[in-house]
Amino acid sequence: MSARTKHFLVALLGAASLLAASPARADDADTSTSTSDLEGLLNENVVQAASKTSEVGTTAPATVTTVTAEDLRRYGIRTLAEAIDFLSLGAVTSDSQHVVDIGARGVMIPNDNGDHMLLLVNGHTQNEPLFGRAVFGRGASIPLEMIDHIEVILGPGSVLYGSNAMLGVINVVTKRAKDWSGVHGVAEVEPGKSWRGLVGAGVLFQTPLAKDPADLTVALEYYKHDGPAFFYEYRYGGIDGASGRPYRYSRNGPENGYWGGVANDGYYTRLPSGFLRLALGDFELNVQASSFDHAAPYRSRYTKVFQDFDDPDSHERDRRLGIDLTHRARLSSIARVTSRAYVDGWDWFADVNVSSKAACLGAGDTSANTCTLGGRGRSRWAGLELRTDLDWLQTSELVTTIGVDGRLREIKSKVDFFDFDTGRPLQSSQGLIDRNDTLIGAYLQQTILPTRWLSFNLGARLDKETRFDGVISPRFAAAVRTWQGGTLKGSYAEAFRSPSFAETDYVSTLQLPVAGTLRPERVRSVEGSFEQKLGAQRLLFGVFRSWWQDIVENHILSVAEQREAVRLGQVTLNTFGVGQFRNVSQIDNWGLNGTFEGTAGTDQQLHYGLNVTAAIARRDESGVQRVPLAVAPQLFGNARIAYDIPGDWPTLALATHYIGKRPIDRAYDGGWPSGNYAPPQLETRATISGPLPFVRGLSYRLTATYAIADRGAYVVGAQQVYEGITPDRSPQLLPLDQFRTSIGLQYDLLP
Amino acid sequence: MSVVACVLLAPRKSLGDEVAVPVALQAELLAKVASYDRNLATRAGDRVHVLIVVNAKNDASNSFAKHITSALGGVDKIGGLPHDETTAPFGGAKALAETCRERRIAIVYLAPGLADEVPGIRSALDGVNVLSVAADAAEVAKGIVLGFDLVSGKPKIVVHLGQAKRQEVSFKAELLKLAKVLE
Repeated sequence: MSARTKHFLVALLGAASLLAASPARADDADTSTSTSDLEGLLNENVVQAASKTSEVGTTAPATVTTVTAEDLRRYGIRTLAEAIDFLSLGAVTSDSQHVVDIGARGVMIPNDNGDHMLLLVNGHTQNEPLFGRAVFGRGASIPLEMIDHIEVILGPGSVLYGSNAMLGVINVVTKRAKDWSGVHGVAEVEPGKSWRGLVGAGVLFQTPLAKDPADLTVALEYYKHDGPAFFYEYRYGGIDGASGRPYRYSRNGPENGYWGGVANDGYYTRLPSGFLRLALGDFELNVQASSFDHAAPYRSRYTKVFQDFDDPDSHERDRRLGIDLTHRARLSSIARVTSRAYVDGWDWFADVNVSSKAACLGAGDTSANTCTLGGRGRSRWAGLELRTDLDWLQTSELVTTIGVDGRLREIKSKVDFFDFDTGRPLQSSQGLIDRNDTLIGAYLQQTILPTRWLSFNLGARLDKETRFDGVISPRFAAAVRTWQGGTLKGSYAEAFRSPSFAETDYVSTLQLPVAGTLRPERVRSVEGSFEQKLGAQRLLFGVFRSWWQDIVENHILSVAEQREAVRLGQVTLNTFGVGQFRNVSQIDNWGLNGTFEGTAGTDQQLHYGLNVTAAIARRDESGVQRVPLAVAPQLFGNARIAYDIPGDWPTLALATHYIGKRPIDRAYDGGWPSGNYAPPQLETRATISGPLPFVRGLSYRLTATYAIADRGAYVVGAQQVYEGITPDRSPQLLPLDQFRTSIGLQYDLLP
Repeated sequence: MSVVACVLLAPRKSLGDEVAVPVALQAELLAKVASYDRNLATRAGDRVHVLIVVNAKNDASNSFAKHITSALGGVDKIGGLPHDETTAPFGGAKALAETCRERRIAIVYLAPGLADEVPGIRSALDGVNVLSVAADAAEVAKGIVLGFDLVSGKPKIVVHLGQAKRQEVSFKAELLKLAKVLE
């Protein structure tokens, strides 16, 4: 950076700092001391997941956003996805009502089940192996009030965590009892749409088992939502090839070929969940359980293609139980050992009811009025991770981390077809998966601080599982403290995603087995950033470039390929839309991102922030035109401002997030003459929160949210592709709930 | 399995002896916080002497001492004054108080591993002109004047105001507004 640019930057931040400077207090006889430097230190983020050790975010080997518990409350955040959208840098979500897709820095792969982002809760992996699924919406089942902070770590993170960490790592850290002491109750309502109840407690108590008090935090939560009742345009789907008559799209509906109407019953969530964390002596136990039952009223390309319209009995349920026991020990003045044993269970149920004869033909019997596609799956896994940290000089200047993580996995799934009315099976089970698998990962990380202003982080991890040869994920990062408050960082990292077992093992009449083996997806990334702090203000600017290869997609057979498959006896003559998972494409991605945030006022009562990401991501496939990624936002960001009125008066906050225009999910294979882009979205939330006067321990939170766009990026309905049988030349896009309000009360009975 | 056995059977020290706020950040915070002590210059004279007290039998304690010594070595001034650091094993609360008086210690930094000694240290330091700092913020509630906690991934200053008065530490209002204050 030239001296001129540096002077400009410092002047810019200096101007901001002057606006934020604390004025001298007239009642202080001593010369007042500006607290801006101290405020800057107190705004420093301490992150854990970037290097598996506590370090300041400024010199962590990645770009990190920390979302605090206070931010979550202040800005009316209700889910992990909202925290990412309204408050983080570089990551973004897109809700299809079926799943919440997550992307970062311009890359998003719709309906990937979140399997390109690693989600951790207190360091415990949430991604399951059947689909690679991690849930970022309401189904994440993490009580918001228990969250201490969320670390959003951008860029490849497989160097320490293995598979799935291609876009980054999100680590949710829950509160300790000292920060959540007492008994707590929360009731929150979105009038006419949802309600949520939570009870929880945090307590320190003495036991004979350890010298230090045990630290317990626990919460039980229930969330229920119904609707809103969106209106879906009536669209003509055509003639049912199996019956020769127009399609029927509901169990008791007419055979008139029209799909659509008001969806009163088929959009809901039922979510009981619980979370417990107990720290006792050298041990820490985390237990998480949930049952996420949800339904969406429409059919889409990715999920439930043949589903009846607005059918409440077509729904999906994820149940999970995760137990994680960690032991930390210091073996000597330089050596610490962390041992972690974990066991997880995940069950999946998906019932899809279809009343079209063509679909029931595929299910095995057209005599059924309505046939049910019943997907069942389960994953069980257990593992042990051992990690040693060697602080050779006992000054954190030369630290070696060595770890090994071994896991046993059992994965089962099947799809059955039933007559909905009688329960009679229509054919044998398909898509049978019954696998036992072992994976092992070993990692090594070296941090070196040769001087106080220079640090290096080098590492690599080797992962091996039964389905492919070993994968190595390296990372190299360096940070230079250029001058007071200034830090220049650069890094190179690689990551991978093991194909899910649904991709490698699922076979049915419409899904061919993988030819040969599926290779892991890979990403390589370089990034550079410069951060400047001036008191409580922080400015960051970064650039990035990544290369993705061997992206796994479900390739739909061409006519020639279908003929060959028929010749080989793999498919029958009259099946269409047969797919096969292959390593199909590459993604080329580059862009820039920036942050400006800080606090101001005599008591730091004004909080503000701005995050912007601008990226280009292009999908490459042999023989196919290079195109932008479907659904992936290329320009997105957020801004926020909040003011804490002194005393028992409320906090007023405004947060907004923006997603630019983006291709819809069927932009490249739908053949639509128009309407292939979803409109830009600007969603703004106003929040008022604070203690209720005269009622000790009771606080409130009111939110109102308005979204400018009423349509999302997903094609819904019977007309997934343009067939020219109706005048409709553009697809019907997912309707969005533009205006939402919520009222929440929290009662804290403190010890 | 043998690795697991070695880990479980090896000598262990309590998890509670590990600090939450990175040591280098603690050093930077101390250097800034000290400048808000109105009595620092009077107490220290022209140089701030920092005494780091360790539990000699505790590896975490010894390791912390080396770490904070190195970190403070990278700090130019504490409270605007030059400084030096020495480490000493804990030899009793009264001996500690005597050392602080004799050697004009301005800041005494308690390394982890001395939790059981804090009540005695608190009593012994009553009336002694010294700023006591705990590596573990939990000790502040027991009577150490200053500590650094971690809340929502950010450091938080914790001050025991009552003990500060008894040890002739007078923090300015600007600091107390940024801190969690215990009486």
